[in-house]
Amino acid sequence: MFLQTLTVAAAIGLSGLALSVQTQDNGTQSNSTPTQILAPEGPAPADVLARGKEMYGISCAPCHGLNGKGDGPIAANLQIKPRDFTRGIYMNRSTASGELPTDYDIYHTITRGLHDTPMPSFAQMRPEDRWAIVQYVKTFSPRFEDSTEYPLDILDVGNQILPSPQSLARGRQLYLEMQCANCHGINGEGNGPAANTLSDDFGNPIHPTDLTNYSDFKFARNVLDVFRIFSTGLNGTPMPSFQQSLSDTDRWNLANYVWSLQDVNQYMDNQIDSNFAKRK
Amino acid sequence: MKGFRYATLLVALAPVFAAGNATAIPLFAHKYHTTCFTCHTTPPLLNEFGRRFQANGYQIPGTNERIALWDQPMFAFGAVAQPLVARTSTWDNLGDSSLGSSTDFTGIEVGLFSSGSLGPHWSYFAAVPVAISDGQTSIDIETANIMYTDVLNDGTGSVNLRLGKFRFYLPFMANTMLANPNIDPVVYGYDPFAITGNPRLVTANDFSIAEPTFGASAFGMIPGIADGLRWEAGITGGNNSDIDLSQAKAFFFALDQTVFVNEAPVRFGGFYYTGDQNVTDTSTLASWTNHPNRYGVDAELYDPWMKRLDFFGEYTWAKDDNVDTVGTAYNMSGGFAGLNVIVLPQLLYVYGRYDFQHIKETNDQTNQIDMGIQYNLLPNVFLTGIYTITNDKIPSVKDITSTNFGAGVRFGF
Repeated sequence: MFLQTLTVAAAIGLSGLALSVQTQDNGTQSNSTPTQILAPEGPAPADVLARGKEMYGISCAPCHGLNGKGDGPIAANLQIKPRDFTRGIYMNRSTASGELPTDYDIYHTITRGLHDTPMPSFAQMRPEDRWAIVQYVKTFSPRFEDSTEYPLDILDVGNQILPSPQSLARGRQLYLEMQCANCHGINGEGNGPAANTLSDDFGNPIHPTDLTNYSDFKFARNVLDVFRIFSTGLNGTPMPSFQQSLSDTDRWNLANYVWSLQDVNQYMDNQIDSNFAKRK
Repeated sequence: MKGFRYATLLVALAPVFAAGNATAIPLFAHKYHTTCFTCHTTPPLLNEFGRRFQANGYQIPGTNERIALWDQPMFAFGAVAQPLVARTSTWDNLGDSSLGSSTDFTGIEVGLFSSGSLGPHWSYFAAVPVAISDGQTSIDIETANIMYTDVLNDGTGSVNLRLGKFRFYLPFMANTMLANPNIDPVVYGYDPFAITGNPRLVTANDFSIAEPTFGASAFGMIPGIADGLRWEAGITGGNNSDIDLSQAKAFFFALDQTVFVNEAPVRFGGFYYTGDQNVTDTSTLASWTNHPNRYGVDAELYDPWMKRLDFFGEYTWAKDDNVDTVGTAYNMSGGFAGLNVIVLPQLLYVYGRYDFQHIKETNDQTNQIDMGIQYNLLPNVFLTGIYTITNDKIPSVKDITSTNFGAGVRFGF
């Protein structure tokens, strides 16, 4: 177990080192050269994959299936279908629209889960086991070893714009201009004209998030997460990326507005939690 | 027609409830910010993930919680309320006469649940039903046990320990089946002392293998055997209420193997229970020992194409060697077979089950058909409709048929 942990840690460390070498410090300006992952890492050590397979079989296979096709024993009974890993399409990413996720993106999803969906948080699983699952899940799709899928452009968050009357007003204007209301509704309640007509790339019906309900946000737990989603889009869903169509500043304004649509008390609680976390 | 109208009325009065055993436990949905359907096909019917969750000491499979409940932001607590209104009619087929009928509101029972970590490896689970009936409130500690999980410290949860009051692992307990929550499988409730009907007999046991018992057990899921072998081995006071192990003792062992066939779960297994029961005749104070044996085999499979048809069944034998003052032996065999159907995922389910039981010495035969429907009205609100017909027959001695129609709601908080 110790050796396995060490191997996984070393693999993570090396990938992090490679990433840092390839990173260009671009400050906070928009449209600058992003941090990139230039090439596939290559297969993980055999013992890591073996451990990943074992833990995947215990924790993930009931929904995602032994072969990662998203057709596990439980899948037929779920309205939100488990992800088909064989296509290498991931919603929760820090990479540009259409690109593969980073290892950390997958690790992050396993750790956090998807709020109020059948995908629970595995935060209490050992970190080395979560990393091993990441490596095993990647083996389901050949995209991860395809050099033409690289480089991966890592999101640059730019200068965060704090919520202000001006930012929220601009955000509201953008919300209407970018036709967010078409799916999410004029008041963000997930009841736009197209809300009941949407499906994901796998042909499964999908419903837009009720932006007024904190519990309905599957990934986002703070405004930075919302900004990230506006920048990367959610691959495999109708939610597009605004990376090319909006500046960093406007994506922040839109994120501030969308995050403000939640219940005021909940919104304030989140800010308090966020500030508390910063203090810690 | 009158009966039909009455039945329709009962359905219309659906915001009434199905009482009985503890079922869905929304505290886990709260705790993990997930939905009932992570662990349940529909509450209380467990899916494969839910069975693994249970086998991992009520923790997400593959995890071992490190953060004690006092360091967590909220206390892990949940409740289920499930009252039921039911119309029961009984008919004597030999005498061709009615033995009466009644409409009963089974009272309000709220099951309170708490479960959480006490630090690395240590956790607990407790279920406390609070029942209100005829102006009286009763509270029962149905289960309360401490667990030491992931004994091998390998992150798989293949070996866990528990001590306290708990139910042994039976794959089809009422609180894990999609069925009338008032009706355990017939064979689980088999108690030869109740059948003899001798009021002078006081056993150390109020015996049902499906009821919670004081004891200790080892349990878990071994992942390397096909797609997971669940197991449990334990000792108990041999009854559901007697904590004194010197009064009686019993041993329990169960296996439950899962194999995925075209990603559909196929389960098969068995259980064995054996022990002593100390019995006293209160008029003569004569005492003796009975040796109950219960063993069974079971299977469950989903259709491998749609995975919406869930077939299940079990066959059980019971042998008691000494159930009265003259040393009479009793032998029972029986079981059940049924089908759960996922009509609309996360919305609508129907089920049917056939139970049968035969007691060799008395030639007493019980046959029961249980059917129902469940609709998920809101995330934690389930409407239920049930119909049960039971026939209890000893040829030329008795032939009694009873029907039970009910409607209810199951709320999770």
